[in-house]
Amino acid sequence: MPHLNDLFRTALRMTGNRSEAEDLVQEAYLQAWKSFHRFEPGTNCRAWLYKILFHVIQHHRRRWYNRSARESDESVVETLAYEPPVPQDLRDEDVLAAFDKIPSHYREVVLLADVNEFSYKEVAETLSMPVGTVMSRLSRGRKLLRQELAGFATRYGIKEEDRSA
Amino acid sequence: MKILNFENGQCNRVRSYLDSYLSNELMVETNLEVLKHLESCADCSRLLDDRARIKAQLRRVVSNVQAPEALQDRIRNDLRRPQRFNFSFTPSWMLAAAAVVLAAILGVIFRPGVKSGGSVAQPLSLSAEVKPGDVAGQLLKVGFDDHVYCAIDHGMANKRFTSEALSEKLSPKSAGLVELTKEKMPQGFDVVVGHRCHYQNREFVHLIARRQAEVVSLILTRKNGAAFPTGGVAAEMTAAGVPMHEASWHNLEVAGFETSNYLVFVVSNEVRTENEKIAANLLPGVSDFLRRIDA
Repeated sequence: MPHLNDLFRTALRMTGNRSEAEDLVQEAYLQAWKSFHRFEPGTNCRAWLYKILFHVIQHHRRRWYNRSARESDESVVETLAYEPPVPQDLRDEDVLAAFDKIPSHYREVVLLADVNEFSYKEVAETLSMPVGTVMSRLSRGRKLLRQELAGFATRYGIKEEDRSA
Repeated sequence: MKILNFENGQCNRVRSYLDSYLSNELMVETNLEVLKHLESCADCSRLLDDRARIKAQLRRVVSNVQAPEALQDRIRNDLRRPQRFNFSFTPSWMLAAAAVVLAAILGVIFRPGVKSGGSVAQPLSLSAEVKPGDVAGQLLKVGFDDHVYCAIDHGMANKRFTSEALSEKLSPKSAGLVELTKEKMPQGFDVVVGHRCHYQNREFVHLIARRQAEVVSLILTRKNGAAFPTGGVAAEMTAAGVPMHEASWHNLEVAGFETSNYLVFVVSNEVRTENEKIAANLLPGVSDFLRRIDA
């Protein structure tokens, strides 16, 4: 199953829970099988499976959705505010931890575009949203990740001082 | 404090493009404009580097995770469990389409329509039912099962061995089969896989030839006492004086024949007449080959 790993990773980052991710992926494959009549031969099978996976995720979302983290305003105005530098040597676990903190409606776009390398158009189709929304959420999602990661600069810095003391 | 090119708004403008630049979604002209600016602006370059670095690291750390092996088995069992689905009123063309999609999900894309109109019995379960007492059916199933197990389940049909890998994975004795098969397959087919495999206490020499979505397996195994029944088989036909037996399960065609020491199967997603033709074409050369290696 060539897409199984990718779908599992995506589900895992959306839920943060391995067994929940397994259930979602299993459900997605079953749904894919049941709705085969909607699959148009010749179209992208990978994108189709992701669309079903996110459909399944949305169904189960309320169980883990962090409403408090949700931002209702999509039209975030990007300013030229000073961007704090992100540390050069980020630990992998810090990147994951920071990423998992981002609200899920930004995380899903970043996952599809940056991790799975879908085009804006494919992300838009997978998540059933306009391309403009994909662009703004991707931009905002990346920015939130950078801000989380920039926070590590201070922490890493403190460690450096501790070491030299 | 950083000094930005605020006067002409160039940094502002370029930074608004950085996300799309990173996603490779800019028009050629805008892309050039961004590149040109980055050459002369260290601050924007630093921003881009940060973002590209984070993107790459995120991709790497997320991709480090592997799906548990048990999950694949769970899904396969799920998809194959016929009682989960009710297709009793589904027309046969939909079953054929379903088989195509299942194959695509499982990793082998069959050519849609190859088998349209063909008999598609129980395509939901890849474990074919053979009536007790159907000796030819039982034997044909040996070849069919190895094809399903190896070419489909283990995705071998999607592999492409180099000629070194081909001769390495086949015993020196059976390596000559590759050339023979290449020669006897219809034009456009390529032998992509050749190896020895084991399934259900049998050892097989297995070659896979492909022409885009068409997948043909040539499968050989020692008889170990098994033999096709002589006569009385409706699906029997004779090619080059050797009786050939045929069956079709789940959108796949199987043709089988025997030599003095071997059982030989041709399994494919072709229509029956085509599978038959391919098998008949391979038969004389393969029989000859098997006679020679046992001599």
